[in-house]
Amino acid sequence: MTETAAIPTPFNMRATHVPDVPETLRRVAESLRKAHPSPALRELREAAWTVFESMGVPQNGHEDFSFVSSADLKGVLNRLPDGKLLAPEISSATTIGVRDEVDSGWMELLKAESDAPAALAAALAPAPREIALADKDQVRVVLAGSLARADHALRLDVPAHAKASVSFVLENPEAQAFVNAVVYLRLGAGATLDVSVSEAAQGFQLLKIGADLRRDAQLNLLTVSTGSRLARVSIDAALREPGASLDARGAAVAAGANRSHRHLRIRHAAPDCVSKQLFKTVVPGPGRSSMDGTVFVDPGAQRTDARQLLQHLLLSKEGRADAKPRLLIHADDVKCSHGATVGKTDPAQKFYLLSRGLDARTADRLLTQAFLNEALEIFPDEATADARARLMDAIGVEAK
Amino acid sequence: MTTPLLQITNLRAGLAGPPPVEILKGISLTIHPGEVHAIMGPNGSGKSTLSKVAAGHPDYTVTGGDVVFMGESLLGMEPDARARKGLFLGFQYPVEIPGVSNAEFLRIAGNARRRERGEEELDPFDFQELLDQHMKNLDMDARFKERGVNEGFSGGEKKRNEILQMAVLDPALAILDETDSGLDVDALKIVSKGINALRRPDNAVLLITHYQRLLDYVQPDFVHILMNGKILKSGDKSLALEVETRGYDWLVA
Ligand SMILES: Nc1ncnc2c1ncn2[C@@H]1O[C@H](COP(=O)(O)OP(=O)(O)OP(=O)(O)O)[C@@H](O)[C@H]1O
Ligand SMILES: [Mg+2]
Repeated sequence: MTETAAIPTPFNMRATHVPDVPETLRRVAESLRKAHPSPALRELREAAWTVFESMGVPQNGHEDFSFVSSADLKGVLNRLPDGKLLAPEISSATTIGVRDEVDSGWMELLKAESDAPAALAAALAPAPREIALADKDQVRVVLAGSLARADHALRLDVPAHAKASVSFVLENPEAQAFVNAVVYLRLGAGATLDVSVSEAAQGFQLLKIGADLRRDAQLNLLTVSTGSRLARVSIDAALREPGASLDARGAAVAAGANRSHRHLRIRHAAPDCVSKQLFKTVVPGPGRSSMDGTVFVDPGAQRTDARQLLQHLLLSKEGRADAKPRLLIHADDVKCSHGATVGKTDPAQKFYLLSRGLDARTADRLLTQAFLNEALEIFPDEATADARARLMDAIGVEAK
Repeated sequence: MTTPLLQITNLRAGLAGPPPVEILKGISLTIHPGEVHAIMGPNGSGKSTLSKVAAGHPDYTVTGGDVVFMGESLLGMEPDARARKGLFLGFQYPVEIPGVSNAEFLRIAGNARRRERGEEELDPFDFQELLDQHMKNLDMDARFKERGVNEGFSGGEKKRNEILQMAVLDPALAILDETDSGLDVDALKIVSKGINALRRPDNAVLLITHYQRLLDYVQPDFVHILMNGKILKSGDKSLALEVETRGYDWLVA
């Protein structure tokens, strides 16, 4: 072995980076654009594709995907659609308006899109949808995967001062199925939206939630996950006008050998906004979890109140938990805190329960439940009962 | 004479280290059913350590002697098994467990103890009734049921909650580690009443305290002085009074 010529590492990866854009996908995206008669939809797909093309499939070491298996990611993103029309299933509340045609409001959203899978979802989604919510609407949206691939793109608008709730359900029929979805939430002034996201128990799933909050809008968001072969939820929220507030929480269990990835980007773009992120993940066995969160405070976003806490409960030696909390502050009059913790159940608390006669398994169950509770209690108990049961089931202890 | 409820013989225990630290340096103590014992002693003498060793706290290692409870050695028995058998420790510093509901926790604990005794478990309704009764006796507000275990409780409220747990579990032996510390005058009366209400010929109480006042309400049959990991003197109630006026120095002199 005399000739081991070292390949020089490029000094600046980005400068020499050629986006990985599969040729077959390019052709599919193109024919999809040609096939559709609506100019608006054509425009949307074109914009989405252009954005995806500039980024390509995220490569190993990509900053926003650093904990995700790039092989798995490439494997699913390169898949071709099988031509079936998989539209999001939207529960028929009486007052919501669902439009098949799309308007130009998408353009600014897509141009700002920095998540490659999300852009691809918009470029390939066979049936992008717009939902105009009305006050008191409660909507359930099922985003189903397919053995080939299923891309979904949705936009939800909550008009000023309306109060509504949406639950998104990611569904994968089989262990090899893939769902790739992007959802944009736009909250008008004074609007309130409760969002819950529940993920499929298997398969590959990527969900990007973009949120745009106007003056005094309030978004409460809960993601519940038991992980899967590849489960990534990315939340990208912008507090655009004063008084906007975001409460984002996550309760997850990376069950078995599952993976669970949370990616959070919260931008304070205006003064006097409040954001809280509380994400909790239990890794009971050989599973993997990552929580990667950044809060940006723009210049001028004075009196920002931002709190971020990423917590892992790592119950075995084989598991792995990565957390990357980050604050990027460009204003001076702000109240920001962030932190990450990883640990086992608290020994003093556990001893207290044991000393009252609870067996070790029950004590662990109560403490694990309590750990996740803080995230789940964003919504009333009735609303989270199923999620609670599912999470406890995933840890391998019965919920009570 | 009845068989002892608790028999501690020449118990040595401490921290495994490194470096190993011996805290209990050969303690012997026998408690019979129906008796009330009190342990007094200066700060750091090993009182809480003794109570936690009895309860099976994993921080401590036993290096010698034995602790026999109701005819069975506790050494090697898991803490939860000790509790279900009827040993109760009222903690000097009860921990807060946010997110675990006090009522839910009490019901699971109570039922575990009932199962152990071959009694039927209580359904949530019967348990509520029992709990409400106990809480009324201890003058506790119903909202403490819904809170997390000790979560945000004041010092005195935590101690009262310890006695509530004791009432629900109905132990054969209750070791109460400074349950009187942090209680106001009225609360001390209520808690003492609670302790006395649970006394029966077949159970016993071991009080750890710094103050004579508790012993006015719960009258001890024996008082022991623990200093530097050893019981230096045992006597009757008058010993507590003597400590109150003279302190501990005279004992070592
Ligand atoms: N887990 C521990 N780690 C280190 N030191 C310990 C530990 N537990 C007890 N000790 C030490 O052992 C000694 C006895 O402590 P213990 O808590 O039993 O005292 P105590 O008699 O209950 O005192 P107090 O009246 O202040 O409650 C003290 O010096 C204490 O610092
Ligand atoms: Mg003590």
